[in-house]
This record gives sequence, structure tokens and C-alpha cells, in this order.
Amino acid sequence: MDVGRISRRQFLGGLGGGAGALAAANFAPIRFEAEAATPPSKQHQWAMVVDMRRCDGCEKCTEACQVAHHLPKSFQWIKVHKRTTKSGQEFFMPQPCMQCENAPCIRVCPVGATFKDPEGVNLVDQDRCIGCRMCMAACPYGVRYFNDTDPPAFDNPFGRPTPQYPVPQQKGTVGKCMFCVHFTAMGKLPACVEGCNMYALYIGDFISDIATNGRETVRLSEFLKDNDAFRYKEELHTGPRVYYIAGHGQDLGF
Amino acid sequence: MSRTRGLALIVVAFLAAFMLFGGGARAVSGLFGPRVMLDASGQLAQQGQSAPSSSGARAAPALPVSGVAPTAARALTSLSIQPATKEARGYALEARLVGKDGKALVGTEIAFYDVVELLGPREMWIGAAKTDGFGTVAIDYLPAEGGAHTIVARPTQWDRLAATQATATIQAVRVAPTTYAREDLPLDPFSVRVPSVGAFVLLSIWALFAFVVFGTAYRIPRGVHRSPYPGRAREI
Amino acid sequence: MDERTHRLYLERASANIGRTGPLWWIIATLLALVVAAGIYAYAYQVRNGHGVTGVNHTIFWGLYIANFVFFIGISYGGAITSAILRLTGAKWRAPITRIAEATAVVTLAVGAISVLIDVGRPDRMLNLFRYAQVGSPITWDWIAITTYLVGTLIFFALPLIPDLGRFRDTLPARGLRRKLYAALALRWEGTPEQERWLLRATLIMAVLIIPLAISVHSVLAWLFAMTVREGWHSTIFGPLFVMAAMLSGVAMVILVLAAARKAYHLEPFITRTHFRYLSYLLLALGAGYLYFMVAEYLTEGYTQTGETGAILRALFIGSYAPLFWAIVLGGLVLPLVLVALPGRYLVARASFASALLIAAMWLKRYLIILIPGITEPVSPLALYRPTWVELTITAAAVAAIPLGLMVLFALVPVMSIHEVEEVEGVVAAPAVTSARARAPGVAVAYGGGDE
Repeated sequence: MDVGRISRRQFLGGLGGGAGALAAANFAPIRFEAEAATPPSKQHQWAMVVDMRRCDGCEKCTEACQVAHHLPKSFQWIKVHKRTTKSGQEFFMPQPCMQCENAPCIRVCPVGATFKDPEGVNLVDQDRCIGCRMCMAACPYGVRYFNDTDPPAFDNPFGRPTPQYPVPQQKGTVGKCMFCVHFTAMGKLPACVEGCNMYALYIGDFISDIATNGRETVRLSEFLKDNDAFRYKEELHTGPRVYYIAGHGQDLGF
Repeated sequence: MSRTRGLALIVVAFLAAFMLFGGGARAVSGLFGPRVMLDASGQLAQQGQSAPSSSGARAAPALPVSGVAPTAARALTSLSIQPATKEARGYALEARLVGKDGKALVGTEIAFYDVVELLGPREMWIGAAKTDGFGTVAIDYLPAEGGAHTIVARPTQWDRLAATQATATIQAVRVAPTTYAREDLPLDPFSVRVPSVGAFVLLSIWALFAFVVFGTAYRIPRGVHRSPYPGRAREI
Repeated sequence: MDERTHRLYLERASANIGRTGPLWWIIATLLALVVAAGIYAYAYQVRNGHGVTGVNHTIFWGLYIANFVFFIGISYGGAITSAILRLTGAKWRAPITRIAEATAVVTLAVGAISVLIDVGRPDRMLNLFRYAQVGSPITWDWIAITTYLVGTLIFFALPLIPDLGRFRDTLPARGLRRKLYAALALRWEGTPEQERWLLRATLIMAVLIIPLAISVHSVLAWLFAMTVREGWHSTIFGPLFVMAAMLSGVAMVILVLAAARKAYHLEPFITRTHFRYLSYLLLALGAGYLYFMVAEYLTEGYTQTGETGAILRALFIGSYAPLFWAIVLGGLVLPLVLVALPGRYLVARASFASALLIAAMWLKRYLIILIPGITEPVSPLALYRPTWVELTITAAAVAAIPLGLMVLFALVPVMSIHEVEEVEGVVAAPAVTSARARAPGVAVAYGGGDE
């Protein structure tokens, strides 16, 4: 049982008794209060900033992501939505997984296959997922993808796919953007950030308070404050870790 | 609601940081690192290194004279670091830009960067400002993390000076309050009890099931009359 | 009930047992073929993944979930009809409780299988136990459904004991069926001790089954309502689902009663009176459901906060309007008017109205699973088209219900024999029974001239 799984936090948290008695020995106790006292990891707490002023909708990020994770074309873990303002002006909104602090997907998973890793990224254990798609129902952002067919064949050089490197995807399970933790763990930029020609995507870290798009590096907190960054569907209290910077007269809350 | 609380958390965290690092008797001790000046060639030009006052008094070290004459013909910028005028602002980064003739260059924008490590070494933008009549530019910086920071100053637009830069390091003791806070939902602590109640109800139901099933399996076979088929005798 | 009537009752109730005529075999084979086609479609889906179904990234739950909610809802109606009639001591219940309970058992089994079909990795279902997460509505779901399934089975099996005890002795001594009946009948002789215990156990189960059924259907609703999607995240969803379940369940009981009445020649016992009372129940539940719908849509439509405006627009005047108004007018208002009217053809009207209501309740579930396609504002309106795989499996699920009932009624009496003796006071009345018999109940003259 790794750290991420234990430190999962759930609404209706610690049923020690009933279901624990019903479930088998492997029932993961959901430690609730003890966990709130645990400080977040000092290493990194990943975040992302999307500067919509720069995005031209080229979908290079999507392509880079699909190459990095060997995904079919219909699997857009980072999806570039074309939207229009009230005045009719078009703009583009790249949307990765929001890596919510209060992730609804984690809360509703019946087997604990989705969990928050110590760096704040929500990962999917596809060896455990039963494919009920409750997480897709719960996700207000629609960033989860159900592997309804066999994924493209790929020989994982590290052996079996892991939550940190879920390549190839497993049929009948759910996958999603995982901020390329396999890259960030090696000190590389996530695929979409690396792939963006317009430098519209920033990967950031709350702890060191830095964000970078590969070319420019900024102070994360000041960058968000100075540019009136907002979070998508903030009112749902999911605590997204992806911030948007609007610049073309878009409504802040859409 | 959560924003208010988040704000409150940040304020509390800041106060805690202030108590630890900024306020009280040990406020100044170790707060300000040595003033370091570097010239453009990268040679260390330490000036009047002021040892951290250990007296505990709020005695700021003698402010270094900024805008020292360049040490080399191409060293157009000098950079000095000192405590900011307001403690909460951390460190003042001050640079002076002079021409080859030794005269101050006015109205040139100087940008400051912190050399950081995030998925590789990067220069993090701190801020920029234009030089004043003395050719100096100053900006406050409160790092997010303690420890050694390498600061770089460089003119932003002036092509002829683009290659010119000055660097200095600070031992940051004071740091900015963390911007990261958990975003818990209001009911979460309460909801721990809910499943226990549900489990109790569930177990009661299953206990009743067991009572009915085992009771039936036990009572009905034992309820047979000794006499043969009295129930069967009843005909309508 | 005079002796002649009672003998006729015995004869009709047990005529089906063990007698599977050619017509039985023809119908059963046809239904079994449909079920087999469904099994083939499922195998095809397992081999090729859910890509062969119509679900996509936006509408991730399809027909299977609609079926799941629908069939479990139907099961609810059977169980609760029987339980309420037992608890209120309604004397007219005796010929219909067996059919209602059997419907509950069969539809519940079909519903539970429907959700297993929907799961992407059926080979990992044990993970639900191994890694159970208390916070997940799915965990609540399987716990609630398992509990309810066990409860329904007990509730179905308890009144069977005396009936099986009666038939045990009439069967050939060495037959397999005799052994089965003897095992299930638990040496039933009809002694006062046995009667007393059986009554007590049945009442306990009748009391239990009502909150259980309510909780199961609330949990099903929470599968949707616990998400942050507008159109799903609604406080009324639990009660609404319970009401819809009762409505469709009672309608299903009416349909099965009408069919069983014809198939097993039960007209002397399942009379117009039964259909009239059940029609009243249907009317009350339907009116309640309409009220809940109005309460939901009026509250949401008045403010139209967030995306609810878009959802209601799509339902009332948008792309889903034909379906929606067909449900409301053709599937709710029209059937309720049909059953409310006095006059002739009562059984036919009640059956037709029940069929309409059942179709409407199914379509309503179908609309509910389509809602994410409307509310996802970022992506264009995602379309969901069920494929042949889903349609075949759905047809198989529908066919499995009459098939299951036919098989069940080839094994057990179609009407409860013991129960009619109990309400008619034929059996030795234990103390509890006589106390309850004084309670006001609805008396029905069996074989009366109502037909």
C-alpha cells in the first residue's frame, strides 16, 4: 500500500466498522483527521496555468500528449475547446485534468482506483479500476476517458503499466491526464507544456511558487494575481489546480 | 466562504511565519545575508560584508553604498542586495546602470531574475523597473523558499547591453508565506460519523435477516406435532 | 369461500406446477432464444470492449444503466405491494401476493445483472469487496442491492414453505423435485407453533422490506444525485426515483397479473376488484409522481441558475422535447386518465395504462442518462445512439422476465394457497392472526359476480 493510497481522503471518511467488517482484509481505512494534520509534501505541489491569451488552438499540446501516452486520436487528455465570448469572439481553452483538491472522482471511486499522489496529482490505478465510470459521472470537467477499445499496442519499456506511467492503457478502465508525472519525476516538462508552440501552458509548483512554460519562468502566485487568473467552475468547490488567464474579454466565470 | 477561509489561513500562516522568522526578539538575527556584489564578468566583489547582528536588536547592518563604480569597462551594471525598507517585503534588490563613461544611464528598464530549479534550471522573473536619475533601480523581493538564491539583473530591451548582467546571491531567511493551502469542505470533519450510523443500521438489518432465516430453519422443523399429520387432517 | 370455490382455487393455483405443455415450451424457447442472443451480444462486447456500444466520452452511461435503474425500480413495486397489503391485513391480497413477490425477485435479478453488464472489467468485480471505499455511492449501491436481494428472496421464500409442504406429499416419492420441496418445506405440517413463527417471520420481513426498498432506490438515485452535474445533483432525486419505482412497479404487477390471469385461468380469483384497487394505487402514485416532477421543474425553471436553464430548455422546447412530452402526456397523463375513468373494460384499461406507464418510466430513465450530453457546455452536444449490442441485451433483459416467471411458476403455485386459507380462517388461527383479523381490512368476495 503506497503513500498515495493511504493518504486518500474521502467524504464519509472513516467507516471502521460496518463496511470494513463486510469488506475483506484489504479494506483501506480512510484516515480522515490524521491526514488533515499531515502537511503536504515539501517536494512539489503541481499546478498548471493556461494563458488563453496565447493559445491559438493548434492542438499541438493534444498531439504531444497522445504521443507521450500512446493514445488513440479520440482520447484528448488535454482537450482544446473552441469557445466564443458573448460578443462573438472566438477563443481557445485547453483543458487538462484539473487535479482537484476535493476531487469528486476520488470520492466516488468504489475501489479506490483513483487517488491523489503526494504531489497533488490524481492518478488512476488501472490494475484496480473496474470500469464502472462513476468517476466520469462525478467529474464536472469531463476530462476522464473510458478505454472502450484496445489501446494502440505499445511495449512498455518498464514492464507493466503503473499509475505513474499508464502506458499502454488497459481496455475497460478509465484513464486521464496525470500531469505527466513520469516526466516531472525525471525533471522534464509535461508533454503538453513542452509541445506548446505558443508557450501558453505553464507547469507550476505551489511549494517553490514557480511556474514555467519552458521559456519564461514566473512567480506562480504573483503571476496568477497580476493576471486575474481564475479557475474553471470554481463555484463547485472542487479546488482545481489548473488556473486560466483570460485576456480577450471572456467572462471570468464563463 | 472558502475564499474567506483560505484568506484567513494565509493570514494565519503568514503570522506564523512572521512569528518564526520576522517578529519578536530574534527578528533580525540572521535575517540579512551578506551584501554581495558581482561584476559583469562574474567576479565576486564582496563589499563590507556585515556579519549578522547577534545582539537581537533591530540593528540593520550599515546599508551598503549602491552604485559602485563599475570595475571593468563593460561592467555596466552593479547589483546589491539589502533589507527592504519594510520587513514584510523581504530584500531590496538594487542595481545601478552606468555607461562606459561612468555616467548613469537614465530610463532603462532593468529586470531581475531569481535562478531557480523547476524541471531544470530556470531564471524566474522577479520584476523590472526603469532606472532613475542616478541610474539606479530598486525592487523588493521576498523569496518563497529559504536558502541561497542567485539573483540576476539585466537590462530588458537595450540590445547593446543585453549581454550585460550582474548577479548576486542572498541567503534568504525570511520567506513569503506559503501560497498552498488545503481546500477542505466544511462538512468533512463531521461526515466521519455518518458511515458509522449507516453501518449500525445495516448490521441491524442483517441481524434481523439472520434472525428470520435461522429462526425459520430452527423453529419450523421443531414445530411438528408428534401425532401424525394433524394439519393435514383439516379438510375444507 | 365455500368448499367448491376453495377446491377450484387449489386446482387453479397448482395447475401450473410441473405441467409444461407444448405452448409453454414454445414460448419458453422463443424467450430463451432472445436471452441467448443477448448472451451472444454480451460476449461480443466483452471481446471487443464497450466501443461496440453507443457510449462515448460525454455520455458514458447508456442503456444498461437505464435498464438497471428501471428493472430494480420495477422490483420495488412488487415487493412493496405485497408488503403493504400484508401489513394492512388486506384480505384481497391472497391471490396476488405470490405473483407480486415473484415479479420482484425476477426483475431484481435482471436489474442486478444489467449493471454487471455495464461494468468495463467484470473480471474485477471482487475488487468491490477487496477495496471497498465507504465514500462511494457504488459501494452503497452494492451493499443496498445485496441486502435488498437477500431480503426479497427471504420474503418470497417464507410464504412458500406451507405451499411446498403441501405439494411435497403429492409428488412421487423418489423424484428430484420431491427432495427439493421437502428440503425447502422444512418439515412443514401446519401446526400452531409453525403457523405462529411463520406469521411472525413474514411480518418482520414485510416491515423490513419497505425501508429496504426505499433505501435501495434512493441509493440508485444518489448514483446520479451525488455528482456535481446539474440535472442530476438534485435533492428531490431520491424521492423522485422511489416514486417512479413504485409507479412502474405497481404497473408491472398489474401487467403480470393480467397476463397470469389469462395464462393460468385465474379469472375467478384475480378479479376486476383487484385491478380496481391496484388502479387506485396507480392513480395515487402517478399523481404523486407528477407532483414531484412539477416540484422539481418549477423550482429549477423559476430561477434557471447555472446550466439548469439549458437542461430545461432542451427538455421542454429543445431537442429532447418530443420525447419529454411523450413521456408526460402519453406516458403519465393519459394512463392516469385511463385508470381514473369509471366504466367498462377495466382490466384492459388498467393493463394498457400500465404498459404506457412502464414505457414512460423507462424513457424517463433514458432521458436521465442523456443529461450529461446537454449539460457539458464545453463540448458540442454529444449524441448517444444505442447500438445493436445494447438493444439486443436490453431485449434479452426484457425477455428474461417472462421467462423467469414462467420457470418459477412451473415450480411453485401461482397463487398462495396457505395465504388464502389464512385470510379465510381455514387454518388454525394462532393468537396473532386472530388479533389481526379483527383489524379493518378490505373484504373481497371470491368468485363474486364482479367479473
